[in-house]
Amino acid sequence: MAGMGRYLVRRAITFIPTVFGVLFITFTIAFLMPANPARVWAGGQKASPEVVQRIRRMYHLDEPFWSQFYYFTKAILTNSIYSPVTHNLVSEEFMRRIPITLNLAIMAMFMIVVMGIPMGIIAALKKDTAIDNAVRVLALIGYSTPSFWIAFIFMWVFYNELGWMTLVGLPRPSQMITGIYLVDALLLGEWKTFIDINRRLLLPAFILAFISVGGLARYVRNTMLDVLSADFILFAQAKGLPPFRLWRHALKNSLIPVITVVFFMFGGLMSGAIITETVFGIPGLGVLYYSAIANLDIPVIVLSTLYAGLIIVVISLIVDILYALIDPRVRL
Amino acid sequence: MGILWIKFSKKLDFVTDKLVDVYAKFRDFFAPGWIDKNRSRIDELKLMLRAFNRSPLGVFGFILIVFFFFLGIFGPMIAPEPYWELFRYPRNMPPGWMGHVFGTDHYGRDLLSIMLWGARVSLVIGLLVVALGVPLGIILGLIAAYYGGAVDEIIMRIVDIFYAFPALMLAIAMAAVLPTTISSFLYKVPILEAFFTTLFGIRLYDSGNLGPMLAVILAMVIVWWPGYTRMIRAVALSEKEKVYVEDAKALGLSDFQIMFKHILPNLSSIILVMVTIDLGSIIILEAALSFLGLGAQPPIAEIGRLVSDGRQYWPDKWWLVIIPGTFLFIVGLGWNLLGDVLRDVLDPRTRRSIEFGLKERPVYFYDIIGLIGDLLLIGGFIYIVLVPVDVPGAFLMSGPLIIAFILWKGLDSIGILRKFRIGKILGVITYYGTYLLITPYLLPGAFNGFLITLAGLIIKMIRDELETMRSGAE
Repeated sequence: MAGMGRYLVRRAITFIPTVFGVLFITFTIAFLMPANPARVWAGGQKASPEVVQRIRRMYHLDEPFWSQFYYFTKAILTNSIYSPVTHNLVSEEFMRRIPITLNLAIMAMFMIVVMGIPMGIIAALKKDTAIDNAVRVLALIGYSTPSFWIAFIFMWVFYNELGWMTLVGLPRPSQMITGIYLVDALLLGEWKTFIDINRRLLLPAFILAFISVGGLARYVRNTMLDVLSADFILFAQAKGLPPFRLWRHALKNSLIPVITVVFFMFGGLMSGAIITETVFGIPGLGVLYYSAIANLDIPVIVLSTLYAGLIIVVISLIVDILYALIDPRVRL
Repeated sequence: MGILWIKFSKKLDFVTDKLVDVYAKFRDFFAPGWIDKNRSRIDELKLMLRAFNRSPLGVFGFILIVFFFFLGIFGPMIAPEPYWELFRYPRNMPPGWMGHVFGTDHYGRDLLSIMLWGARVSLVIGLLVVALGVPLGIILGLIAAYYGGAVDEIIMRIVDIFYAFPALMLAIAMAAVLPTTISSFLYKVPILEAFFTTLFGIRLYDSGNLGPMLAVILAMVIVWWPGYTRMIRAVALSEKEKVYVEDAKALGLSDFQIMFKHILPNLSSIILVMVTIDLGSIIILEAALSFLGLGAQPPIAEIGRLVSDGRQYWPDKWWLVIIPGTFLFIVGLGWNLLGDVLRDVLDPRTRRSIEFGLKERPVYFYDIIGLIGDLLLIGGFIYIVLVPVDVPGAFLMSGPLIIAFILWKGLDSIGILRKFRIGKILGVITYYGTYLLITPYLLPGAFNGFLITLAGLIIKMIRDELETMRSGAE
């Protein structure tokens, strides 16, 4: 495990600049904000000059780049950035919304994995058949579908016509354990809440999954085909292993890169969740973002981007460490 | 349909061969002797295009893209009405109202005209993002791969930082803060203002909207380049180890020449495929941003904006969402089909399998029957869309058809069931059964369209039977 320790140190060294870079980019976004946000926040054209001046001083808008960066970092570390529109603490607002978006993304990820990996395996085993082509077309359709368009069609079928889903409210379980509503409801055994949450979130999650499931299936198919043509499979075949055992060996080797791709999909899912949430009116990050754009609420936009970026950086750190534990080749 | 397509694509081969010849003559005209020097390259190009012709999906995607380019370039010229005349007609009229093919939109304009204006905006934004983002990504990727060491480390860390953000969130944040900066810059450079208004096909009067539109483009460039850097670096790393790079170094060529004159041309096919596929995603992401209210504001025509304006009337006035959305879907599908087939055609290994995988054989009777079945399947949908004008119905109908096909082909591919033809029969029964379930949601006239598709399905069953009989006889 000597290599492991060195790997962890190296990974940690690249982790810190990434976090700093994420912070720097988000600050640059904030720095580029429209010429006179103070006037907008103070109430538009009618705002008195004194109030505008006070807001400019409050947000240090007149100071040079580095000085503003210092205040920005300090404010983030002391957690004291308020939204000038809603007067709420931005981090609190974000924490209130993120479980819902994560819930949606996790449900979608579950569906993608459950549908995509078997589809990819079958497509690889039945290469160049109707099934393989169907997976290919499904992937292409998924890539080229605008998520808001498909969301409206599904909404019409399952809400307006069939009535299987609801469009208002989001029941929450009586207690928070993990912070993810669905898991908490399941852990507490509150079945009614569980079903209600599903009625609300299953369809949006399915739409999110629909867009990426074909892509994952194609990826699994390609890695599986690569592994199936590797020497050790040929050797196992020559040894006379039955096909089922052969596939199991191939599967083990091809799923390792797939795990990374699945985790990298998370960023994409969070992006997609913004659109889907806006369409379905789910009070997650998407709606927060949507209203922030409408109100020119730059602190909310910038900080939410920052927090989402940090979540992904931490997730990828964890994945890399797990990866090094599973696959010794990475540590070299 | 396979053999019929091969017969047809032989005709296409003549066209593409002619095109390559014309291109070669053109090059020869400017650089005499070009044809003699590049004879093998011309043959390679012809073979590539022939392999492309063998794929119906690729040709279909190509036609869609040509159509999209046509709409994007000439749309504003052929649009019957200008985009800036608001509330000329009553709002949200259905398709076919008073001769307006797509009806009218949220602002009382002819929806068809607005779509034509919007196609130009989509096309220009997509091309600009590629024109700015791809070279940046390629240059940085090549530099990172070629020099390695600290340079590589720094560039890749920057890429990692951009990868850390969810793409749409970063794009939204950028597109939300950039417009004012860009607008004030454009205000100082009137020539750029005039250039972009012409490019987007908008009036100079609406040039205030250029800021938000260019902000969206810049935001997408910022989101897009890291992907190219990562990919180019990965490919260039293996390319760098090849002998020709060593030779070039020994000859004393500069790093710049080696990178851009010798390594880059070898990556061109990969870049072409990636750009083709990405153009679809860029157009859809742009629509998503304008759906969220970023980018150009009305009266500028933007497809995503049309959907977002029409969503409040969903599903009563479905055409406001379905028509622009379908346009986006078709454009995205066109780029993706084209890119996917190009990937196969440009990769020598898969191209060989395409070339040798197809066997010439005479056209049998069942091929004609199969073609009739396919035409009926497609015809049923076209009937529903055109005659009872039931677009949601057509979407709803495609569900049962997909399930039927999965049961049919899926169960059929498992050897045991083939003997009993259970898969096919189950497929047809499921199609009929699920149709009965959705009947209440269809317009009355949709039934005929359903009968047509059902007939197509059954005819395709008969075709399969004839094929097995034939191959059994041989």
